Amino acid sequence: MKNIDEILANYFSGEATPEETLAVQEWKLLNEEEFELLSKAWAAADEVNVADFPTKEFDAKAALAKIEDQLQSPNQGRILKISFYKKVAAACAILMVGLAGFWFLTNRNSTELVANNTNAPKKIELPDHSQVWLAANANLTYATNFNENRTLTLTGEAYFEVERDEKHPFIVNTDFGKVEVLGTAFNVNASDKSTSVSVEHGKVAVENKTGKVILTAGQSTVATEKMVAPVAPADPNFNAWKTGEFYFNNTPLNEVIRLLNAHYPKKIEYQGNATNQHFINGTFKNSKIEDIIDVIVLTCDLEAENGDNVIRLK
Amino acid sequence: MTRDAYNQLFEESYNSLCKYAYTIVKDYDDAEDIVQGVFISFWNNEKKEEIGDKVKNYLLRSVKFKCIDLHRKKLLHRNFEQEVLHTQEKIVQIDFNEDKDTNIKDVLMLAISELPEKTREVFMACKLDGLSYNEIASHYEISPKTVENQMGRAFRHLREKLQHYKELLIFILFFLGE
Repeated sequence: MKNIDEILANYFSGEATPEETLAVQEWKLLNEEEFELLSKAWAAADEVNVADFPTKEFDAKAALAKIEDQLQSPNQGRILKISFYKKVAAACAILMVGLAGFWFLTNRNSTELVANNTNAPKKIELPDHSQVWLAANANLTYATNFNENRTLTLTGEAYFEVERDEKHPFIVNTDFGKVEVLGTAFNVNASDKSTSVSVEHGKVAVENKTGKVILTAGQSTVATEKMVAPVAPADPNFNAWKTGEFYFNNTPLNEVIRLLNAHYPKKIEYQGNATNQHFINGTFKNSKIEDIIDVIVLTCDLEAENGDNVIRLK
Repeated sequence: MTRDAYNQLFEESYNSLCKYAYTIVKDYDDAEDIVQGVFISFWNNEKKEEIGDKVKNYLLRSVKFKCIDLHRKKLLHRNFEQEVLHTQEKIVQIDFNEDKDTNIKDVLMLAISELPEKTREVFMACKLDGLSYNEIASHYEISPKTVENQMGRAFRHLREKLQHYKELLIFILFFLGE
């Protein structure tokens, strides 16, 4: 006895016996929808090519292992994504009638805000596939049509790996100037006093009303309200907050603490008044914070009190 | 969605989504990159719970978009090279359907790409080359009964897939049906 699949196959490929054809016609009455779908699929198969199909299997386990570190773990805290447009729309509802036209404007110019409200660096991908690492408490805004207009505004510190796209310059606006780039990796720290930029590879321009400098790999500058500083070598720790690699060379303890606090979720507090009398040497690559603290405690002859979220140095 | 459920979904769907992606991008690495990318952004998407039981459909659609996107980019790149280098090489325009939604062709491609190679060969010989069961049987040196079995298997698989994506496809019937 043949099964219905074979009978249907015979029917569609013109191999059915008269009995089988009758059987299909009966089946069709009861399964009208499915028959229709099947006919369409069979017709669509005319456009298919043998060369369209892969001849190998794909290894799901290996692939899953490969993407593992790009999957955010839920307890790491989340990235807040707020559509500004929604907020504005809510405000409009209150203002209403007279401002109806405003809705159109805001709709056209709607922006996305990405904020890292956690206490550790956070990686995000922009719509153009550029990668951004946002330092703790940093945030970015950009227009929803980012792929056409690669301009964003940064508050706080971030590291960018920019997808190359000659037609659409990549621009980071800060309070103290703009950073323009084609395709490269660089760090921007937009604080409330100045904006500092360091370049890992590639080339960027830093510009404000007072001037403009061009940076290449290993260089840095600082832009303030009054100037854009001359090009200087980038600090070896400029993106330590992201990489977890620290190069201390007679680095004052207060600077060491600042750098460590920018990378590790566990915060260090120094409860003394001699931070600038202690200096740290050594290289740490993705070490545990406790191990680095051990070194600091030994070199500076301090005591550490290890709490849940805080390490107190005395 | 728990990580375990996600891992299970990944292991269930990865191979066949890659195969489907291959039918569009025709490159093993590109296909894998696209499917991995879709899975990553799916997991990292806060709204993933809202997708609910439509998740497979969502994944198939996302993979399709990404494939079309990559294909466009490659085409642009080729156009750009041509402009700059003044090469005379003609760009081969790959033809694929660019509908925003999943349609019969997508489900068909997914179904065929999942078939075992032998079954697929028989199916294609029948459909595309228009060979009869007897002709296929003598070409592959198998019995006509085996050809019938293979065709039956191909149809069962196709029906399963059509059933699976039915909700998507029914409305197409409404609008495009005779």
